[in-house]
Amino acid sequence: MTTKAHSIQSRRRVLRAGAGAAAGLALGLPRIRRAGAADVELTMWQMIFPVTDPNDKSKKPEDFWIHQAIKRFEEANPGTSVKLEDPPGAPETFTKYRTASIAKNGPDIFATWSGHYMLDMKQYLEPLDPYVTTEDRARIFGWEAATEGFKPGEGTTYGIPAGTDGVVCFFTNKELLQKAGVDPEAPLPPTFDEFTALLDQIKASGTTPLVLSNQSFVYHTLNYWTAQVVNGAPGLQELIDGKRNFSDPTTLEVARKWATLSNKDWTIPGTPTMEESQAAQLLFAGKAAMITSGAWFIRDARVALGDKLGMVKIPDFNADVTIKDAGVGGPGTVYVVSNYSEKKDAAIALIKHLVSKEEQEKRATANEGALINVNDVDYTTLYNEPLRLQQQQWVSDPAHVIFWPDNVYPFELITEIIQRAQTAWTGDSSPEEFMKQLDQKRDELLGKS
Amino acid sequence: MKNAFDAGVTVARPARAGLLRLPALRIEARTNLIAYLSLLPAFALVAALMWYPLGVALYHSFTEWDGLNSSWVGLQNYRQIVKTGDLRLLLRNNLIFLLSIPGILAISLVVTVLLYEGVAGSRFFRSVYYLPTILSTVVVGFLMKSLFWSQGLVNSLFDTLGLGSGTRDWLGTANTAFMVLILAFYWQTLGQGVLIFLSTLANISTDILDAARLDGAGWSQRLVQIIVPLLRPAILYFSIVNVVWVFVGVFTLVYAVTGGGPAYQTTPMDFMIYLRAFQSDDLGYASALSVILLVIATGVAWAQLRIFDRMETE
Amino acid sequence: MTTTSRATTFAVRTLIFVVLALIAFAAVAPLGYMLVNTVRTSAEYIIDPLGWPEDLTYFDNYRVLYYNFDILRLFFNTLLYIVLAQSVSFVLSVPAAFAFAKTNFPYRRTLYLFMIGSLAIPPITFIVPDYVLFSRLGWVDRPWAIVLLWAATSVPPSVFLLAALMRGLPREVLDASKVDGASYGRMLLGVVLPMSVPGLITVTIFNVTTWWNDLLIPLIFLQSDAHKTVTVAVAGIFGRYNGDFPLLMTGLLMASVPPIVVYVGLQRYIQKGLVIGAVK
Repeated sequence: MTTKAHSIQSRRRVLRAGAGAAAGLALGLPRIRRAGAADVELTMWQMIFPVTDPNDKSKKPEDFWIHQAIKRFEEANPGTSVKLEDPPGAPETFTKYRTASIAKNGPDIFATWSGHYMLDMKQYLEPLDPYVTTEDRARIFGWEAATEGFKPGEGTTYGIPAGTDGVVCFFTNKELLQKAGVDPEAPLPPTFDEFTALLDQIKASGTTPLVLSNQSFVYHTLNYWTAQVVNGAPGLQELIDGKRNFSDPTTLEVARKWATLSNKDWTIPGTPTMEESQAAQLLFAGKAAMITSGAWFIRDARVALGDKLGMVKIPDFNADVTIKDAGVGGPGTVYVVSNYSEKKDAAIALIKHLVSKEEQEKRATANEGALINVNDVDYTTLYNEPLRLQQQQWVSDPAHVIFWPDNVYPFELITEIIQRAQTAWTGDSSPEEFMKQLDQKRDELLGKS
Repeated sequence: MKNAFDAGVTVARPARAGLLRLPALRIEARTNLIAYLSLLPAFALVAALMWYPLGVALYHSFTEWDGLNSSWVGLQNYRQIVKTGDLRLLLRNNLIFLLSIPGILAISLVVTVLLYEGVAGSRFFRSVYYLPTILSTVVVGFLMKSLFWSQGLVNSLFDTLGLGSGTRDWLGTANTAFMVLILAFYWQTLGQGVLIFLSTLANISTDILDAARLDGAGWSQRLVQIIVPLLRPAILYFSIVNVVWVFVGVFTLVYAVTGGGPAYQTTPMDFMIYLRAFQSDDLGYASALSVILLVIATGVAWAQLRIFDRMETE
Repeated sequence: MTTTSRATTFAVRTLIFVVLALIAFAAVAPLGYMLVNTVRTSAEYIIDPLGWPEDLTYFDNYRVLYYNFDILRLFFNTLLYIVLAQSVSFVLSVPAAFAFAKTNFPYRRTLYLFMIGSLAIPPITFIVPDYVLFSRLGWVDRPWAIVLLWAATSVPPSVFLLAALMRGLPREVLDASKVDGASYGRMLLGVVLPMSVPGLITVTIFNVTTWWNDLLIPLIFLQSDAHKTVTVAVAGIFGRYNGDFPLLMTGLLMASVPPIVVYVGLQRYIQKGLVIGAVK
């Protein structure tokens, strides 16, 4: 913040305080006598917790954990009220947060995506190191995703991890797989090439094997295989730093094979314009046999598919990759506090309430959305869903989790990848062009900073 | 145009008996003062919120600016706009919208002539055609998006009719996405065009048209030889309104239907400015694009006025 | 006229009727489709986008709009901003239009050109710097931000239309009132304004339509749900509910009802207004 902006800001604060005092006097209210006890209204935006149920639209926001948890906070803290807003989906929400933050007008708390989604907004974020205790660091996991440079203890912490997404895998309609003569309980073929034979087999039974959405087709598959062939996080960093090119043969090979998935016989057409829940509905309707998703998907899928719901890991790109039998995922979500917030202490108090043992137990019992990320809650007794248990076990084994590459890429780079992937997927641009465009954008971003 | 503008203006005249004694200059000055005072508030607001910001944009187009801090970078933003090929793509996208205007103009004219025949139900049809025009662009855009979704109504219709090969992801490739955008534009604009042309025709003596009909002129002849010349001012007006829209108002339609995709291929200039300013925090780049858009938009408006003027004097 | 030519005429007229009816169908069918799908579940819609609702009393989409969007508040906000913006707009544009129409002062043409030239300025070009300006003033996410911007952008078209109409006011009446000793302001209020009522209605309709449809300004300048307008809220449904088309169509219907009702009620004025001033 420049000094100029700062002085305007503080002048505004003075003016506002003056106006408040005048209003208080005019109404004869004693409200402003004790400043500390004044009513506090917190604003929180969230894009990470479910507040609607696609299987039952009549459910109200109050029926979901996040709204209930906030209500409990308000009851425990009289005088504090919280306005919870669910802004439009990503990336519009990031746009909205940036826009609001230019005016210092955003929420006090933003429950958002971790990694670079968060770090690229850091000019608006409050460093949270002073507020985080050693105890917090010990009982909550996922701090690397909330820390600059992904190194807790070295970089500044800008967020408090809000959960873990599990490991992205295929969720299947077991009945349809069986019909195609595929054993729904067995792991999928281990490599991409063998996997395509399976896709043909499913198609032959009259079912389209896959449905992918406009985000998952990049986040869950392209990014996963790219990360695999560059050996995970260090390799991704080399791509970002320009020490490695997207158009290098290994990553180009990924783009090439990935684009073949768009084959009409393998994937329901329309991926680049398919929203996540639309894709889910197509799976639920039996129009496709498999979808890529993470732990947050289980609840709705179970309601819709019942015993037909299956879960298997995504095949490795090839037999040479070092991180095998894995998937993208991990702590993809955080709570952040805006640095222009005038109620930071109350904001932190709310976050601490949300990540507390009591609330995390309630969250685990609610079985909604993503998985919990605290080690003092025994999820094994609280989860009433075997697939969630399985997911929590998968994600606790770091050797088989690749942290969300889209959270590792700079925000503008991942935005570009999503945009360019749309034409690469439909074949309107070649894999070579696609990868070159990414190199060009990356170089542009490097040149700027 | 000049004459039309000056017609009806009362030249300042001494009116009040008391004022008659004052020198003429004094009265004129007083009248002028009142006029300027009448203009002042309007100009003040327009200047503060529309002109001054343009100056800010011009200055910041030479800076790197995130809304808080800015540093002078000279022509770098402009160079980047040209070098990355952004400008060509954006101009192309605006141009496609521009080139779609004659199409809706022709359709509106033909429908107007058909309505003018006065077949049964013409009045009813006319009201119905206007229905999409009164809906907001957001509604029209999202409605079209739902119809042309890959699993939506249009593809289902194709499948039901046994035309499965005609199904496609309409919004997933640039060509068909533009088709949907332009269809939405046409769907919303037909009512407007018909209304403008019919109202203008209503003010024209029917004798000419009736005479032409009696002469046995076919309706295509009547359209080209009689109606189009008669409607020339209305056609110009319709064109200007929609050309302005191409540079001033495509944002909403694109936001609703395609979001600018796939791969920015349906992103017009105003949408890119929005993305750059508020999604990428790159307000300097956005300002440079704004300056370019402003120059183009005012240039096109000026050219249109010149054409308008010339055609009036002909 | 011979029978054959009468038969040809009949055939031609039938053909014209069929073409016009088809276009009418194309104009209305999407609206009917929208209406039908508001009572379908997302699952029904996904399975068969062409299907008829299984249960015509399924109102969950309407419930979501009611519970998750404060519909009444949205309508109230939109109405409030429109009323305030139109008031400001009149206060500014009526005197200016009258001065342009009926007084001949130095630089009149130049000033007029500047005013009308502003019509060609794309809003996005001044909205970005305005946003930064307003954010410094603490005016973002405040109703008056919208009111001021709407009022400002409405001044050039309003002045243009009103000046055009006021030029037609009879000179004698205005002069007579001056002789009567009426002050300029009283003349404006007492004589000019009443005589310009049809023009004012036209301008109002034009402005209200523009504002009701406006996405850009409220989208950027309003952030909290409590201050949103109907159009912005509707535009957010698709992203917020992840492509739930039946819900989206319910929102679209909600946003379409007021314009349709107003249109049916004020059809004559609206048609006139849009003919004179249809600048989108």
